[in-house]
Amino acid sequence: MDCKLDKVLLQDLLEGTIDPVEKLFVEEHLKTCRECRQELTELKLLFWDLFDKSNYEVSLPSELDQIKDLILANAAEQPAKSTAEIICDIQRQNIRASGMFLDYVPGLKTGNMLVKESVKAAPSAMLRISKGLVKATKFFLAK
Amino acid sequence: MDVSDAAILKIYKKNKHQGLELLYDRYKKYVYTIAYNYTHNKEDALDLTQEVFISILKSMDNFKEEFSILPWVKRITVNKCLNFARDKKEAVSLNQTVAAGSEIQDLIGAPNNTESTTLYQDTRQSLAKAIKELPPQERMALLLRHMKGMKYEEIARIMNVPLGTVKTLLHRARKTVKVSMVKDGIWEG
Ligand SMILES: [Zn+2]
Repeated sequence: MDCKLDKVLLQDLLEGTIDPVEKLFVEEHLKTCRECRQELTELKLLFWDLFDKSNYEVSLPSELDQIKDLILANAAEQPAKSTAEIICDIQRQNIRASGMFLDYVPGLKTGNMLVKESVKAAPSAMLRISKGLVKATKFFLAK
Repeated sequence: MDVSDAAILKIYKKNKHQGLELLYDRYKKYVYTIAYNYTHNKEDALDLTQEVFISILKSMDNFKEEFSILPWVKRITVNKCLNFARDKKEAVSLNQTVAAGSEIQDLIGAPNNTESTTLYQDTRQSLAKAIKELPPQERMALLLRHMKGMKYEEIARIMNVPLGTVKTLLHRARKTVKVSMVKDGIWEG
């Protein structure tokens, strides 16, 4: 069990990236080397699993829709900001700075309904803060 | 509904909101899937997805219609993932005193615990565990090659490294993953 063949060549053989001369050499070597045949078998199994798409499938979480709202709200062109918006921006920054994950809550521009909607799914600590935020917006917009 | 890149750019010129919405819907799965397989953590993957799209929308106005969007989405996603790894590492070292051992232990794994390795019977789990522990660049190269089926040249371009480096990263990554999966007894009949 002390074959000196660089096992990297076996990976290249499977990938088809091996130099043609080296390929001939490796193929000859495999005929007589049990260790390399074993290694090649393992690599074939590895490649099978690595290329198996089902091993990487993920379910898309609902938060992706909230991120979409946030991004769209961010992108919406903002002319002159109203006082209410500026105050809310400051409030948002404060909340963010205090480590709350308000990132997934859509921006205020999309309206309070969206804030309320997204808050339903949010953890209770955030719920409290966001309710305050909704109230604050209502207050300033009423003015 | 699947709308082409060209159509998205045309719509974006007329209606930014609608264009961005179409772009997001077209590429969210692509971005999130890479981010999730790279981080194996939902919150991190969501953070990354958000970062990628914010970066896209920032440079959207400079985008030329004759280019297609996908290569650009790929590059931003890969860059954000690789930078994210760097940020994360710094955060870990900063919080080391706070996270009383256990979290850091989870992050780096427990190499001396031979009993826990036998728990990974499932191929998918074993593979995910092995990939998760690879160094960032090796992990990304492996995912681009095997999950996304990219050619070596494309990986080199997207990761901005020489072709030879891609080969080396893949060789090392596969070797590590194979050792880990053999240890988990995944292919034993
Ligand atoms: Zn040999």
